[in-house]
Amino acid sequence: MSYISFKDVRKEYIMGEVTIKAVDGVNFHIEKGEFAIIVGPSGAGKTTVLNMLGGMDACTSGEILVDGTKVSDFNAQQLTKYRRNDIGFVFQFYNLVQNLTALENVELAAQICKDPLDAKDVLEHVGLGHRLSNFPAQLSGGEQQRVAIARALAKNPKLLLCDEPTGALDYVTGKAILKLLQDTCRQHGMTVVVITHNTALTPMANRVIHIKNGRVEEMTCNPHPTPVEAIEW
Amino acid sequence: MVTRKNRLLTDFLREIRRTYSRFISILLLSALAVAFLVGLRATAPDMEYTADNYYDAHHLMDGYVMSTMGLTEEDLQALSQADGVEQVEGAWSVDATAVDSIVSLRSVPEELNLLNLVRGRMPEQADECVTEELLLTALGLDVGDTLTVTLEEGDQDSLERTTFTIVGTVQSPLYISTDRGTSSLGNGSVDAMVYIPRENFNLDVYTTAYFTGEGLAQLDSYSQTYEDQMTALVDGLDGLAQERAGLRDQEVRGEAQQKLDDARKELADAKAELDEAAQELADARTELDQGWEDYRQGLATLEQKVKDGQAQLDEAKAKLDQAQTQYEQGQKEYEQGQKKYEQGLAAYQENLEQLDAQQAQVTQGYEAYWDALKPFEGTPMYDQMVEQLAPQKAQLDEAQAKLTEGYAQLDEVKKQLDDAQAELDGALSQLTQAAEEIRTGQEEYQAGQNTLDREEQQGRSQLAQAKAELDQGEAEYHKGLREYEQAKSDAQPELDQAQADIDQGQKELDEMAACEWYVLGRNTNTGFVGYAQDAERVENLSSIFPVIFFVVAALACLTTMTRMVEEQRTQIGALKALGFSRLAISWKYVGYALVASLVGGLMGLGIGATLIPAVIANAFEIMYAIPGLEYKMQLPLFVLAVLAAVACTTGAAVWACLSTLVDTPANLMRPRAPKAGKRVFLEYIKPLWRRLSFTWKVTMRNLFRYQKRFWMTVIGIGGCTALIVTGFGLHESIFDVLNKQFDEISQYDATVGLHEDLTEEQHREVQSFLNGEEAVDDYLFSYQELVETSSTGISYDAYLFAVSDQEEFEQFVELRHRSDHSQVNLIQDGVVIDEKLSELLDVSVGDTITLNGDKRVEVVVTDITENYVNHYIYMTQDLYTQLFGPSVEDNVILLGYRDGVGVDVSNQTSEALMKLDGVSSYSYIATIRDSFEDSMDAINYAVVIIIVAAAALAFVVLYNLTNINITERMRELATLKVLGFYDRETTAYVLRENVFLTIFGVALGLVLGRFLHSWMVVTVEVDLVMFGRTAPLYAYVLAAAMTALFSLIVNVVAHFKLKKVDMVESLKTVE
Repeated sequence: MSYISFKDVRKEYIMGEVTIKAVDGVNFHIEKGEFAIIVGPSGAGKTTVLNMLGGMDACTSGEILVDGTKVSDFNAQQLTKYRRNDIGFVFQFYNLVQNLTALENVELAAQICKDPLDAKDVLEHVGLGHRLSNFPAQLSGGEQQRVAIARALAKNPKLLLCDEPTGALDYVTGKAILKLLQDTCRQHGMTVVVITHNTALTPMANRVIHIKNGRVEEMTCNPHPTPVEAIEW
Repeated sequence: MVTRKNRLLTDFLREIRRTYSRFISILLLSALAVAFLVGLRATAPDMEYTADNYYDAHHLMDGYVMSTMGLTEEDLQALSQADGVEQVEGAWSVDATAVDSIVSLRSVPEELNLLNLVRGRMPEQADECVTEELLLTALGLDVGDTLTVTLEEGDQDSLERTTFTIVGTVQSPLYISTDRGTSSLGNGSVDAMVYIPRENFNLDVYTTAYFTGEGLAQLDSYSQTYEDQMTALVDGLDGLAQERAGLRDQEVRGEAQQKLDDARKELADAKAELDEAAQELADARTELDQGWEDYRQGLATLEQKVKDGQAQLDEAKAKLDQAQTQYEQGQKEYEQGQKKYEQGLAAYQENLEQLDAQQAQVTQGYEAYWDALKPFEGTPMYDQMVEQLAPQKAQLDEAQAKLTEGYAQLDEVKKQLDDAQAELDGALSQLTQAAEEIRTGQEEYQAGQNTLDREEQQGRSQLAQAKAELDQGEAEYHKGLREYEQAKSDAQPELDQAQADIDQGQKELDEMAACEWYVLGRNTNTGFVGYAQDAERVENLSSIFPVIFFVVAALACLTTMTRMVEEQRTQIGALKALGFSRLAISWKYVGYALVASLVGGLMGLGIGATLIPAVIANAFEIMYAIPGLEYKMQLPLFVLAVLAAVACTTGAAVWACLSTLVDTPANLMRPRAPKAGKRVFLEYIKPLWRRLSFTWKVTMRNLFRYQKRFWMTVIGIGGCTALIVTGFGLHESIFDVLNKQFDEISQYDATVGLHEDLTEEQHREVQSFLNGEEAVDDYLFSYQELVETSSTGISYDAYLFAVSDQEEFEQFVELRHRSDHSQVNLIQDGVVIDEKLSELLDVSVGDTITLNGDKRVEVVVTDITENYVNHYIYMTQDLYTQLFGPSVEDNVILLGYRDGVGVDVSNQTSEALMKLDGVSSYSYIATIRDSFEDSMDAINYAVVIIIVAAAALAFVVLYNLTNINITERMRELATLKVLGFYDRETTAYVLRENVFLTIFGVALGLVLGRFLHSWMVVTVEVDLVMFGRTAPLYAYVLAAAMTALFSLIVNVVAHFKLKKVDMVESLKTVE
């Protein structure tokens, strides 16, 4: 039994008389501690998949299982609890609370979950031990994304979901962030799911899921992922 | 050629459709602001305009003249020729009773003060009348019924008839308020007017002359220009008034004096006639008396004469008789003497013989002796013998001596006898003479007696004749006297009456006050002034309220528009990049704002300019008989209000657009750098900061991060709270003062006015009546006087109470300080005045004010007492007498009824009291209170409008701001949700801020409200009334609670809105 599994998951949006099938029968699974990349062109439905996986959206039909729990059956309350305790989310645009310092942003997430990690340790882990009391506006994009990752990690989630984590970053910084994610996956055994449209990144993942037109086009496993440093794009 | 569609327009229209709630909220805010501003501001001018039209249409007088001696045709003529006077109309009036209502019968106006026919028609026949609706209600009559009035005794002749057919009901522009003036009848106030055709009046002179001024009708009756010109006109008539009054005085006085003089002369003539008769009688009397006197004198003289004559005669007779007697005596004596002489002669003869005998013896003896001795002669015996014979010798000597003596004696006797003989001879001759004399005397006497008798007879007959004449005269006299007495007694009462009448007339004439003309302007008409004051109150109320309201609304619009532009930053950038001009781009936002605010403003204008004045004026319709509200075209106000609303909103849009548009498209399309977080001062208080949870930290930071929004929200909420506080506060201030004034301060239930020259007896009578009244709990005789008070500027009327015993007085009037309710003491050094008066006069304790009553005096203010309605000055009676004069006569009774006594009992007591001599007026406090309450009602309407509007505004503002708060931070909230915040935690995250903002806003609002209320109260107040200066606690509590409630409602709505926040938002790029 896989750690995460999507079974024939569909998501339809009804816009007036038109029904848009954003996700049309997706099947895949990810094992615990894997670094998975979901890749596909814009509009393929990868974000919808991430939303459903992250508990931000419910599926229209199908089954989503995470660590043996049927997330697809959750109601709104349970979904919130699920997001709260099991999911760490890293956004493309960091989505830090502007009004809180780096440390406080991490603590914000930490304060609501059952078994959080020490915020300061996490920040040190992501290499921001020296910027603890800076506000997001005082941090560079990469630093902000590190804070966002730290915020996600501090919740000690079951899986870390990252939506185009390097989308707003330059190449070098993006690389550093990816390295951080890969290291986190390796060192802490954290299950990490990254969404990107950049296929060049696929070598660094244990598992790559290609999505196209709302379906899984291909799922490949890579027992020996390439370290980030070795990848060029 | 294909017409190219303007896609910007499409965008514009879609924008409105998409954000219709925002569009509507701006529209509503503009509408509210404009409606409120225009409505309240327009009310007073509308009211004044309506009134002015009414006045003009009915030719309301600009002033009127009343004279103490009435007005003649010539007076009217003179008045109409005076400078500035356009039209003059004389009018008659007389007061009468109709069942139990006091009515004033007036001549139907012809030119001025035209009546406003409510129903029916105007009188056409002399015996028809029109009256007021309220009289019909009071008397249960209807048009077509007959009205009979009862005139007072003195006025009986003033009307041709007293029964009229009611043909219609009217309103007079002279009496638009409930006040109908005073009357000497009944309880002292006129209940209604009855207008009757002029020919019914039998009066020589007009009661009143109404006049209008040239060019005054064109002016707005309530404008300063009108006031100035009208006052100038009235003042200008002063000279004429004095002149005409002087003339009239002379005329009336002259006529009266002439009449009196005539009467006096007539009386004098009558009296003179009587006096003449009396004189004649008196003369006759004197003559008679003289006659009687003469008669008596004559009689007396006669009698005296007779008596004297008789006496003389009697004396002569007596003398004669005496002479006779003497003669007879002499005769007798003579005879006796003769006899005696003869006897003596005989005795002498005898004695001589005896003596001779004896001589012979003695000689014998001697011879014997000598013989005896002879013997012895020459004898010794001789001697012896001599001796022996000595005794014999002695005896012989002695005898001899005796004989010698006897002879001598006899010689003597002989001589005496000879004398006697001579005497007797003399006497005899005398007697003979006397006898002769007596005889003559006898004759004379007889003659005298005869003469006397004759004379007496003669005199007596003369006198008897005179007496007879006198008796006749006497009879005639008495007859005359009787006739005179009869005539006199018949005429006397008439004469006395005539005299008394004349005296009374003269006294009255002398005491008659000089004729005085009172030229009074329209501004002395209670209705006219009251209406203006009420309009002014609404005007005062509208001075700041709508402005605050407007500002708050504008602020909300501004925030909304700014937000809108901010939101569409990227789109603006894109459009700019596409090459649209700035104007074309900004047109969307400016147009959006313009359309919303213009449509809203016009809607508000439409509603505000009609509905609000109508609602407020409706309240006034209860009090003022002014037909339907007419709207005045107040273009400047309307245009300004709409313009202001449009300018605020559109200006905000323009400003936001411009500040955005200056940026380069590239910058615009990039996500705007989120506003940087900042440390807030709280963080520097480490121990405190550390204790705060994150949510609280965020809240704190957020509060201070968006300072603009913070202040806007706080000011918005604060403004609304302040408005609500003020609204409730005003309501309380207005109505609470009535409770305070009439329940706590003036604790008496009625005042009874007494005549100035109240007699002891009347005093006792009133007292015993009051003692006997079951309903009367307590009463106090006191002294009250209306005085003018001033310090440096304007003077104000105030009631002066001269208090004799403060402790007793306190049972009826509470003197206390407003702030702490501590007792105010009346002391000898000065007066206690009410608080509002002290404000008006701008004096405080220790300052001096001038009282202008019977005298002008200056007095020190020793304390200031709580009071709300009217002005009062309290002083001790001692001080009063010290200041004004010798004594204080009670002229008012403060009356306290038992609990639960209502208006019915008061009316009964009033009626009974008014029947007592010496009682001049009665006023029931509850009635005064009611009328005050009525006049405050209109303000209350305005206040209710304010509260409702403020509440609505508070709601809209809160809703709007919360909305903005949410949309602005959609991303942040979505992120929080993704992080796993429960809905309530997310709501709490926002709500906490709202709560804080609300708390800040409410706190600010309460403080603002306190000041706004104080300020409002002072503004709304009129001179005569002081409103409560502090808003009650409940106003604050209610305001806070209402705002909190709105905040809660808004937050509940926000909660559901937050629930709908799509977490997907967090994944989107920053727009």
